[in-house]
Amino acid sequence: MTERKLTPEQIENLFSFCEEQEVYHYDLQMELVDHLAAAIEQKWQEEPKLNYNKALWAVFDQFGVSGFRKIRRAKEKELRKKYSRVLWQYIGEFFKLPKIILTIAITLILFGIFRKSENNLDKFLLLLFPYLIFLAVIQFMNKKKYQISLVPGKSFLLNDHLKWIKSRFDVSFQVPTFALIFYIEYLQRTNAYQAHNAYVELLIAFLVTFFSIFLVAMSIYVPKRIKEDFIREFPQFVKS
Amino acid sequence: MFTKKLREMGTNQLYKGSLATIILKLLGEKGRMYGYQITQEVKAISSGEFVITEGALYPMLHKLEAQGLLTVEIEMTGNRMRKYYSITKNGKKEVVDRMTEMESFIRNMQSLLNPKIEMA
Repeated sequence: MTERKLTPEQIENLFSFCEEQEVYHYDLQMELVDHLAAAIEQKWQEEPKLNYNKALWAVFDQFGVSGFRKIRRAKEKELRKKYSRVLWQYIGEFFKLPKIILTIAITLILFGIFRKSENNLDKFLLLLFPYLIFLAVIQFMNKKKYQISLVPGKSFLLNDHLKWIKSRFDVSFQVPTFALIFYIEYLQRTNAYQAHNAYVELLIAFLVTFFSIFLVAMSIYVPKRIKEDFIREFPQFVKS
Repeated sequence: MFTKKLREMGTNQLYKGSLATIILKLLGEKGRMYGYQITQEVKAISSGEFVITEGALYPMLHKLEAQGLLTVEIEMTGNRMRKYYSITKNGKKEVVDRMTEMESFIRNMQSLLNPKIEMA
C-alpha cells in the first residue's frame, strides 16, 4: 500500500492555518508547514484513515498552549539580536588595528576643523562642507541598500527586519543634523573672543566620528548583510 | 499518573538546559537535518524518555542559527519547501566546549550524590 501524502491543496491549507495562528511571514510559515506536513504524514502511517483536520489539530497540540506565537516572537527577537551583534562587531573593528588609525585620523581632522574655525561660523561651514557631502552620500546610499525586489504576494521576517532597521536609521540620521544646528546656534551666540575649550572640541570631534561610523554601519554594512542572507536563503523570491 | 507526570516534568527540566547541546551534538554526528526529523531522532535515541516539544525546539534552532552555530539550506521536497540545519565550524567548536562542560558536571554530580563510590 502506498503511503498517504498531503495534496497540494492541503499544503495550501496549512499555509492558511499558519496565518490563522498569527504567523504571516513566509520564511517562518514554510518551516512550520513542513513540520506539520511531516508530522501529519507520520500520523497517517500509524492511522491511514485518520481525517486530515483531526490529524492537523493533534499535531498542532504538540506546540503547546502558546502555539506558534512563542516561536514567532522568539524568531523576531533572535533576528534583532543577530543584526545588532553584526552592527556592534562592525563598529568595534574601528577601535582595533588597522581601522582605529582611520578613526583617530577622522577625529583629529574634525578637531582641526573646529580649532581652525575659531568660532567663526563662515569658516566652520566652509570647512565642514565635506562632512555634509558625506551625510548626503549616506542618505543617498541607504535608499539603494534598503530594498530587496521581492516577488509580490509574500512577506518575510528578514525583509521586515530590514525595514525596521531603516526606520531606526531614519531616526539616527536626524542626530548629526540636529547636533550641527545646535553647534551653529552655539557659534552664533558665542563671542568670538571667548576662549574655546580644546577638550570639549576634541570630545565633539570624537562623537561626530563615532556617529559617522554608526551611520555607515546602519546604512551600508548591516543592510548589505541582511540582503546577502536573504538572497542566500530565498533566491527564488528575489526579482532579478 | 500524577507521579508519572511529575517524573516527566523533572526529567524534562534536566534536559531543557541541555537542549542546545543535544541539538548541536546530533547535527554534528548526523549531518544536516530538518526540524521534525530532529524531534523524532531525539525521541528514538532516548527511547522515548525525552520528547523535545516543538515550542522549545524551533526557538532554540533559530537562536543557534542567529549565533552562527548552525547554518541553513532550503530545498524543495515533494510539494513543499524544507529547511535543513547543519552545524558550522564555530558550532563544532562549541560542541566540544559544551561536552567537556557537561562531562565535568556529570562527574561532579556523581561524586556529590554518591560519595561512597568516590571513596571506594
